[in-house]
Amino acid sequence: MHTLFGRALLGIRANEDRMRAMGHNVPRLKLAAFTVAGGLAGIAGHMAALNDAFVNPDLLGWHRSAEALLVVLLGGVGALHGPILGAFAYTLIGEVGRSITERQRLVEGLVILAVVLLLRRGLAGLRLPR
Amino acid sequence: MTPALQAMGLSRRFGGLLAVADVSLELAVGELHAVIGPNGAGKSTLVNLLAGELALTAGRIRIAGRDVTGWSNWQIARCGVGRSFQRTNLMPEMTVLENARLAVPARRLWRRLRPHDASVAAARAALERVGLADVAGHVAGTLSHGQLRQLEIGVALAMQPAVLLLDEPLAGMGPEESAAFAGLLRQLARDHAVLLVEHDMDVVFAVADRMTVLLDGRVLAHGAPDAIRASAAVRDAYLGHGV
Repeated sequence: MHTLFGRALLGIRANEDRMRAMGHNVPRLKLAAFTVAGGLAGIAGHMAALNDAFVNPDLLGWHRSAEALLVVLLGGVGALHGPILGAFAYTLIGEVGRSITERQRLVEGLVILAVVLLLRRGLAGLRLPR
Repeated sequence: MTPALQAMGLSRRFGGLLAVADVSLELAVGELHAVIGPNGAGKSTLVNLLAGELALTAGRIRIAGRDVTGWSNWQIARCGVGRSFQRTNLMPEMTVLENARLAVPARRLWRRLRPHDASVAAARAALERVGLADVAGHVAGTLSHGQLRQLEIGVALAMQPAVLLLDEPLAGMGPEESAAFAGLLRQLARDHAVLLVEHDMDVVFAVADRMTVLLDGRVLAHGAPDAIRASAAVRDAYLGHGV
């Protein structure tokens, strides 16, 4: 977020057309971002395979992708520590939900709904009240 | 001297409509070239063609002598052509300074940005010029309409261009703001080649060095403001009896 690359990505998120008009090679910046993201996902997959000693096709399901999205929503979009906070929070909610009721998904759903409705910037936004 | 921007025989067809037909013009640094014409005359299309936002049906464009025909908008922007938009087109959730800083040309993308970076100095200089230095830290979305129009030009200036394409910079402004803006336009024309598309005739005649009148996509007249004002054809077609 503190390099020009990070700023440029934020700019593309805000207004892609204007970034083009400013002379930014938007397709190349996006390609770089997806390459980095894909590389990180590859490392994660590598670690998952080493950890479980086998690969479950379940990892490819859309539930997993949705989980990643929920983690980002929980943590906060547009901040580096957002998804990290979100990942911890999501796991914690899952564990707590499991321990107090058998309807773990219900607890998760309600908490995420509350965060999305009440904290537009996610958990990462909590530490920086304006 | 090679002109900063040279357009030769530009045409653009949308289906059966010839929106811009065989328009040629040259822009030189130090000169403000105004393009006027009634609604639908092809003024905005012309700006979009010059900025590379629309593909040409026919014609050639040279920037500082280099043929850039068929280049895309970001490539043309990198050649030193900055543009402003008719409808304010910025990053509303970013600060004024960040908006301008994104426009400053840079090569090393991975270097960490510091608050006193050269890019910040360049962005501040651009904001200073359009009179927004005081609100550099404000979120762009909180500015007034007039300030957003100033920022629209400030962002184009931060690109360090030789050519400025300004598409109706005065859109939605009151008479007082317009008068202040005329001074800014004159000042920008000192060290840039400016193409101005504008509806406010008082401002256009006050600031333009040369003018092109478009009608139905064609060049109706071309020349100094006094000659345009005196031209019977222009009067008939566009200016009416009040001017």
